Amino acid sequence: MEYRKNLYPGIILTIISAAYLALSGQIEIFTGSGATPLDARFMPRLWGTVLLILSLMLVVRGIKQRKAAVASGEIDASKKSLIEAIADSREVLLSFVFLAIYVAIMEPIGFLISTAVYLYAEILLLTEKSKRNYIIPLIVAIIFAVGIDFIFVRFLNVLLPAGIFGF
Amino acid sequence: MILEGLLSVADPFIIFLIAVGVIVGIIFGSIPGLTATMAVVMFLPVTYAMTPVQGISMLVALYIGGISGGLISAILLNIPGTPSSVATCFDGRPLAEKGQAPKALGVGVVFSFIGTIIGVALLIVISPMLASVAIKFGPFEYCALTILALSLVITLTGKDMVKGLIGAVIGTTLATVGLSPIDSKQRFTFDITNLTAGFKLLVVLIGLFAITEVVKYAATVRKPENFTIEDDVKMHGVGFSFQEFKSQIVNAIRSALIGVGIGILPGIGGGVSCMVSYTVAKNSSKYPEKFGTGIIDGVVASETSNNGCIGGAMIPLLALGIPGDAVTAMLLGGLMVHNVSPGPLIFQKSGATVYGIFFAMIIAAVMMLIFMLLGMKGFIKVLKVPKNYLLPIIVVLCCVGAIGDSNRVFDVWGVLIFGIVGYLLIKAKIPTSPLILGFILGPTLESNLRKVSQLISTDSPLSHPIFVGFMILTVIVVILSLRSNKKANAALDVEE
Repeated sequence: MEYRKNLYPGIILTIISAAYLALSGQIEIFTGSGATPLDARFMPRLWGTVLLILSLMLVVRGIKQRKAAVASGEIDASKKSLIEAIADSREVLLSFVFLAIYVAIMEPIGFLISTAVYLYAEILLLTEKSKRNYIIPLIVAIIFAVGIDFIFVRFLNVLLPAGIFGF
Repeated sequence: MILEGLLSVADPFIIFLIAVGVIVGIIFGSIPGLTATMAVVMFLPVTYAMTPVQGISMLVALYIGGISGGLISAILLNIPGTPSSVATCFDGRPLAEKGQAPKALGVGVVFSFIGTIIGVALLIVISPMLASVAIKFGPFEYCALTILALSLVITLTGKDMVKGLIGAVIGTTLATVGLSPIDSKQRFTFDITNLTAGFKLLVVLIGLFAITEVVKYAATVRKPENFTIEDDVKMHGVGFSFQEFKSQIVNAIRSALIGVGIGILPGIGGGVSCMVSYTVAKNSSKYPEKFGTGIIDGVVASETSNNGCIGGAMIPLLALGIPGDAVTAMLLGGLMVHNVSPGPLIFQKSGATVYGIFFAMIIAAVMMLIFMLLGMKGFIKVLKVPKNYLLPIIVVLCCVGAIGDSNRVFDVWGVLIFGIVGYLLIKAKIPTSPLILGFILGPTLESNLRKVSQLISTDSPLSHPIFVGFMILTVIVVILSLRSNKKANAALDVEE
């Protein structure tokens, strides 16, 4: 299913580069004395155009490969439903979701608690079901959350969000 | 300046930091799935409060340890701990199977040390020379240099030129977010104040190279790999005889030079250099048929050259401010955090710090040798560290690093976004090293190109021989790679 690695990224990048090019029109241009002949829009336009051309090349390549795959009849056999595909990579998706939740709660409830919660959840997620143990990850999560918070705030002068509870 | 540099590292605290860096680096290097890059990201926030020499000494120690540690798992597990040790497996594993694991490890360690020292020696000689040439560079020369570096990285990183180019251009477009060079106009900031300064290199690196590793592991949770580790390896001294050492001198020097040369080129590093040296050693050997059956020549070629690469990669980083790969890009981030700006002026502006770094690298190499020879048993035990615990902790430390750089949680969102982007790029087989180089070189190219656009009315580009030379080189690189690309595609068509 090689075509997927060309067609889909190609389509996504085409859309992104088109939007990027459209937005580049909003860049203000400085026209006063000493202005460079190539203005602030020039490079974005150049990169945007190059990216657009390259993305279209990927799309074309993807379509060709897809045609070949359809012709040889290998396309239906491996078709997976979207739900199956999501279920198949649930650890990956959940890892991103957990990280997003972690970042979102970090400022309101503070680094310490959010880190402990995140560590616990992510350790469990990365452990195979049959090997899961609920106590040790909890202890590890708390020790490391407290340790990291303490070391960085006290000794290494990194300001970490304190949150509503003040720690 | 040299003496100042030596004095700046002759401090017990710095020696201690280097020791910690080397040990952690070896551990990260030896565990497959953890890389030298991650070790450097993880420890970056730790160095924020340190002086430049302290912080950077620790980071280069992590780098040296990280590249060297890869040989342990290459020999004992047949899985390279880092891509730099791919070729170490070829002869290291057969040696271990013959019951000569201590010998293989000993040879790997000693020649890693020799490779590092040769690399650092060349770094000390070449980088000031390169800097003194580069100091004369104006907008024309910088323009041509960045174009050459970009074309090299695109052609060297992968077989697929289109995807290599896409990677690089994604990097350059990302770098256009924020204020434009020269006239400081807002670009793609959507009135978000936090975006005014653009994306931070550190944030992009953490997202692309650390978060993706964690996610890659997440994808394998239900497909556990089973491997057994032989942990009853007994090291006696270095494990090989002086006679054997003497027989490898030519091989070692050749491999180290290959390593340094490949290290200097942007986009490729240890992984390519060990393969090239291995092939060269095999082809120029009197007994090529024995390669792959477990002879020390293979281990020597691979390990000397990947460590030689370290010194090589530091040359353009320090003298030109152009990093060759993810680890050196991370080091560039580390240098900038400590207000040391790499480039031709580095020897004038921060000479003592640079010589401090050189001495720190030598100390780190010596420590790597000692720790790995004496503490091999310990490092082998660490291979069993459960990654399901380790990786989430690394993510947290990466977040701390992102926050600590400029004390805002906004940057952690950036880490998350670039983690997702990195994962999608891996899925689409678009290489990420050109992206980083594009991200770093894009703004340099833009500001110099725009200056050139102003100068060109009064100053002919043909009066700049270095500019012309770089452009000719770029054309040669592009033509050669197009030709080899065509050949590769033709070969594919024949197979189909």
